[in-house]
Amino acid sequence: MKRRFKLAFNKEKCKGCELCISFCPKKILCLDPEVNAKGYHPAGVSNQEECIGCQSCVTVCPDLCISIYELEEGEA
Amino acid sequence: MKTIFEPTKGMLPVDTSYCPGCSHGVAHRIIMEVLEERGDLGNTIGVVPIGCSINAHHFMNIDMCESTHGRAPAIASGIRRVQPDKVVFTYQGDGDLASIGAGEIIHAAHRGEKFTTFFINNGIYGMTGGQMAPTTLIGQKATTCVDGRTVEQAGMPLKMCEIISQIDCAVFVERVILNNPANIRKAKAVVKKALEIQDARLGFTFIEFLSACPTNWGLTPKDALHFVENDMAAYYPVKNFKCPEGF
Repeated sequence: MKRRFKLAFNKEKCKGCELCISFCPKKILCLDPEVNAKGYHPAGVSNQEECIGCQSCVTVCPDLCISIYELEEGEA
Repeated sequence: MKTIFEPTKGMLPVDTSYCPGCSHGVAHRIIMEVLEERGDLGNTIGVVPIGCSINAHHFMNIDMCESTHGRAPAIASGIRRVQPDKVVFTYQGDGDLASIGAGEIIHAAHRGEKFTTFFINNGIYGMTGGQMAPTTLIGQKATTCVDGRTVEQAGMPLKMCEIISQIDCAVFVERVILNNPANIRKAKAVVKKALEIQDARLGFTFIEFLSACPTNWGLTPKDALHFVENDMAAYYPVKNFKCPEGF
């Protein structure tokens, strides 16, 4: 069975540097059209199902904005 | 739901003062992750410099001491001597360590002080507005060399790892690069190794991180990492210079 992951972004901490977007091997991250309180477009995920849990995004993120969880069977 | 990755408890849940894409955040994180994995968050004393990372004690969840410009190694030497059981490190940038603090770092290494220095080399003075540092590359532009650094005017960039590795009591010297996930993971393994050598009290341990300063270089965060990989690593070779036997 395919492993499923959930990315959680701390949008208020993000400074929109786009490094997570550059290093995502599945190219499923993107900037939000809205701005956060700091005035940056924060990063988010466009296609959650495609995430492979490789942790490239959390490794390059300078501001610790991203957490990754693995979903158990039946969990949404 | 199983946790794969969550921010380390070694970093306080506050916003850092660093610019978007700055490598300080990554360097902070890997050092704090290693300390958390070792169970040393309550057993560590860090010394922070003058520079962009002057506020690191607001971000790192450990005991810290602020130092005067370039004098972090002198303060860490004193802390080590009165706190022989703690993990002690200094965290310094290139404007701090390689210019005004060059004397302190050389003598701390010569005395074989049993602490670890994390040296963040981004080739520029960040906090004061992008002036030329001793580590600025030939041809690299800064606010005090607007047409690029020249050998005639400012000499060659200082290679700190090469200098420190000539000193007998500096037992571990390595240069790492923070340009992609693979190299960041390798850098974390090097931090872990340096702290293990510090535990054995074998001598002075030194790690240089090749880092990006997108704001003062005038590049996007992604292009800044390309500059680190292609230009900085070409002049500053990424390798281990010295390691004690058995590590």
